[in-house]
Amino acid sequence: MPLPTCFEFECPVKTHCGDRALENIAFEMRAMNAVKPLIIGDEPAAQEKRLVPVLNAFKNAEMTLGVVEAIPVEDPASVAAQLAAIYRDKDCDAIVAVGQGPFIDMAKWLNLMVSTGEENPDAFIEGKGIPRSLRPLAVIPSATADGLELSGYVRLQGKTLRSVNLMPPLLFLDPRSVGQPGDVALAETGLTALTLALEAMFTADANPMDVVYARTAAKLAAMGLNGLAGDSEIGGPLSLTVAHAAALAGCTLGAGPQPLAFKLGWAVAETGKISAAQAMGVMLSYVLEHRLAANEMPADMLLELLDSAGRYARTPEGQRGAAGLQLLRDLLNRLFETTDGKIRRTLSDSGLSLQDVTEATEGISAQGKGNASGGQETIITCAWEGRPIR
Amino acid sequence: MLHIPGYYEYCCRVNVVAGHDGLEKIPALLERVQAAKPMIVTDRGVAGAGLIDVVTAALGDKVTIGGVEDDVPQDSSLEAVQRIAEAYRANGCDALIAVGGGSVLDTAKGANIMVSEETDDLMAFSGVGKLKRRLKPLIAIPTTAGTGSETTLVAVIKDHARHQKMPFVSYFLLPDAAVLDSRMTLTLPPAITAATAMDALTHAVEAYTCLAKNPLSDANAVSAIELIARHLMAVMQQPDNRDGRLALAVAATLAGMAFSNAMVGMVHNIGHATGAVCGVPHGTCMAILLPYGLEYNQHRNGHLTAELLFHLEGPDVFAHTPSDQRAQKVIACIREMNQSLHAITQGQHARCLRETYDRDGNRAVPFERLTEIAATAKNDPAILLNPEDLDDEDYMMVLEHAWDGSPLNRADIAGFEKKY
Ligand SMILES: [Fe+2]
Repeated sequence: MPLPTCFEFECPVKTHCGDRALENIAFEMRAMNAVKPLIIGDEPAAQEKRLVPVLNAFKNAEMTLGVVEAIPVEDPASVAAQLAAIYRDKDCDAIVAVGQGPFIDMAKWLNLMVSTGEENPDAFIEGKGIPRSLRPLAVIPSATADGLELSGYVRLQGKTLRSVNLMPPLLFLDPRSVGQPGDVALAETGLTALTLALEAMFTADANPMDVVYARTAAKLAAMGLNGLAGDSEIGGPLSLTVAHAAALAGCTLGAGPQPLAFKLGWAVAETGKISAAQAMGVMLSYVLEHRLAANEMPADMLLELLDSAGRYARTPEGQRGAAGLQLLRDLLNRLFETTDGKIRRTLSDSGLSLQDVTEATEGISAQGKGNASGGQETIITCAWEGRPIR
Repeated sequence: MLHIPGYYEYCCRVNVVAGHDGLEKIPALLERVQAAKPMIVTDRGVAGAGLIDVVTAALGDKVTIGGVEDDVPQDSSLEAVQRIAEAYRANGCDALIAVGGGSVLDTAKGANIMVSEETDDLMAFSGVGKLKRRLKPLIAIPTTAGTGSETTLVAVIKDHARHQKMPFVSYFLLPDAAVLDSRMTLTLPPAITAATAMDALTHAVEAYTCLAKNPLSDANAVSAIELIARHLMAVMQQPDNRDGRLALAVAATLAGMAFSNAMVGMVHNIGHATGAVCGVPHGTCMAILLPYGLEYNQHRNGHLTAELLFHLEGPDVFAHTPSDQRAQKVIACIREMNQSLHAITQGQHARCLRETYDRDGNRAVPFERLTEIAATAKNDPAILLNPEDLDDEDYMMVLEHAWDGSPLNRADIAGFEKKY
């Protein structure tokens, strides 16, 4: 991959991953000069009792904890306002958020509110006015992630704020806190992570520091998805692997523009007939194939990421890109089989018409970091049919 | 392949700006941290090479420079720290820009503690985790592509009066930003380019093959290795190769991220001792000792060394080398690199300890001093994460071979026998 002649990289996230990871949380809080964290958890975390190991980890920490459990996310702005009142009332100085997806958006927004005193998200549009140091925020994600948890994105009532400063400085991935979601939910998290990671890798201006996170996230996602598709050797618990992939994929995205397949996936999900994760999972190989066909990007390394350096090296040079894409499609087919068709191979599998998809994705621009110029129609048609572009 | 340990931590919070015009981004970086009057900290060598002029020209009139302190000694000193802190206060500065290598950066970090904590007692903050809040903004501009010190959260300040080294460890010591600009290394002499690149290569290789590795440090390491493999010889042949210079600077920072998370092993362990006892430059020690470290550890981590062949030599060589010979091939390849660097530098780049000389042209490492090096190495903590232990005899065996440049006889390694 050629080195860009100019780039910037920043990832303020400190990762703690593996056995007893949660036991480090009090130490890390203290290192950031915080002793009164407000611990908040979403509804699934409460149902699965995932707050228990987190609270236990604080037992001997001699810290004053505020705890609010089973927080709904339907009305994030007013929930955040209520939590901000609790935070101030209890004189808290940090936030620990146990949960996933929109709940983490809410937690980041809460942090922005209590750190700045500003209550109107419009004050931060385009990332303006978001200070470099917010209060310490620790995120403890589950394996049912939407990929944006560790990113610099906050989605709030149809608005999007983004800034590197919104990336949570502390990440804890612990087998006890990632939960045990079903295969379909795990596969969806894995597909989201794979999409964010691969699109970041196969971008003309990818820099070697972004690639560090992207590579690792892609390999973890491939490992998790292969495990779900029936490969026996995945090394480590499946849900931790998938949660790990999604968290690092969020780091990869940071506050950068969302990649094409990711955006298309969310747009198609608006139809209500397929989840965003599945839709992007279907479209991913076509977006990459289109870039390959347009010769915008050598997708050769796909083979190494999805399989191994050995397989890559043994495959003749001109065939590596195609072999990698085939591997990606085979993976989706295998997931289709092992989940009894619940993970879709094509957009038409979900009962959507081509017209539905076209309408849903009309407003999506292919512009942005690494997105292929044009060809959106081809990508969508082929992804709907399940037919390679070539 | 992904190697996932049971538990790991990874952190690299430095904001990296890299480019042929990286320096021009500094005003924006300062604005982001609400600073407008930085003090520049550097040493005589850097200033003498005209690099401060390049920096100030790039800053233009967008930034008021609050002073240039260009007198940092080769080993950072308490006096220098105090002097810089005083000047900083007197001039009403609000940020620090460190231009140079490890000791310049350490000195700037020390001064930063004093001015941020408004203290005259630096010692009170020595140790692990004594700092509790953000310091004043600090921007690091490395002038060699090797040490990776711009990614580390430590500083070591020497108190010459008390013959003490004061260590400081805290996340608050990480620079706010590292600016990698090809102009900063464009005029680096060939022998120093070679030695510092081999230091960076060693950071990456040891991080990948020693015990504290994790998947992210591994990814840092392989990217660094690929960049060095692809660009070092091109830069040696054409020193004003800007893209190559930038690639080596990026590689050194990547390797710094790798080792500041995954630590190093016996190559640094013995290298530190060789530097301390005989004054051999760090990068030179690394270049000489790296193949020996890999050779010595091969029965423990040969499978990891073997994986590096893909990144060092590319897919074709990897595919055509039988898997049980790949580790050996990596070691041979590093020896070849040293050989080529030796040839290109007309012998300045030493291939073995015997070939190192001090400033007066005397042999830097007399054979008789190897026992002293071994004794010093035994007490250096860098050995803790090496995959295989070394006893006195092992140290001497490695040193004697590294002295005359002959490969190790692996059957002589005590741990090797224990295993088989
Ligand atoms: Fe080093």
